[in-house]
Amino acid sequence: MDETLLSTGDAARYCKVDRRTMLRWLKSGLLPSYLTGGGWRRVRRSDLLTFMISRGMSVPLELDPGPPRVAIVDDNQAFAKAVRRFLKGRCPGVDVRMAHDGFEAGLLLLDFHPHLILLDIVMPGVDGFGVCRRIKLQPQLANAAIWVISGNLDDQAREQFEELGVAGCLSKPMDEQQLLAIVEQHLPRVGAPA
Amino acid sequence: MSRRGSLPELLAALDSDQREPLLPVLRALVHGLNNHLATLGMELSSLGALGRGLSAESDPDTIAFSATELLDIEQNLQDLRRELQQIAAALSACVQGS
Repeated sequence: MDETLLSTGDAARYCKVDRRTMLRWLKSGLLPSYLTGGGWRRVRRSDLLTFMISRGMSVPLELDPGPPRVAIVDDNQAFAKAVRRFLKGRCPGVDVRMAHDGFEAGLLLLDFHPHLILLDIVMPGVDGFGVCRRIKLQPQLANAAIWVISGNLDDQAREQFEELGVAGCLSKPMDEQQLLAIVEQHLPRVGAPA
Repeated sequence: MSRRGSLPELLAALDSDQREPLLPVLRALVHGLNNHLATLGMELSSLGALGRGLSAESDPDTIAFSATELLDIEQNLQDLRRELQQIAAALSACVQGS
């Protein structure tokens, strides 16, 4: 259990609420808190995490104790496996998981809470647009960066994805350095690759 | 349009009337080939990294892990070859049937 104590101001900032709202939550016991000898209220980081996850709030990367996480959503299994191998080789410590259709993606993303999602467009069942819309409806995935990587990207698709709020789009076949730059941009704890 | 020449030359020589009926086929080809090229790029990069790592590696566990990865890459590339063979066979059947 992470015993690090946070101030009410920091806890409020992580939850994206006003400090007075946070104090109200603490005083009502919604979120456990402690008083210092000097009378200051403090929140245990692990309690805040449990609270945020149980309420479907998105957990900022800096508060997240787990490894950096990348989800690959692509029906082309050979490509997904190749990207996973590449990322695991270049960015040790990164947890990479795969889903090969929209339904699998829904199950994976809600359980895995990735920091970065690499999303294909053409997939059986729910396509990349549908998956993207569903991600955007989930508050706990609000901090996940979505990059669309597809061999079918035209200007119209790019515009639609921009409107949906993705971080960016990349056409296959992409340069490996481009992929690494995306990973480093969205997973700041990943060191420079070997 | 010339009957001989490389595929890029032949495609470049197509005028818009000739290209139009081919568009659905060309789009599917572009999609498939881009996917396969992306896979190939990733696997080649992993092969290079594994090779460089192995040349200086003495830990048996790491060597065994790399060997497993190499076999997995081979399997992935074999799958890729099969898919490319299917594309080539379909194109070939199309040409023979014309």
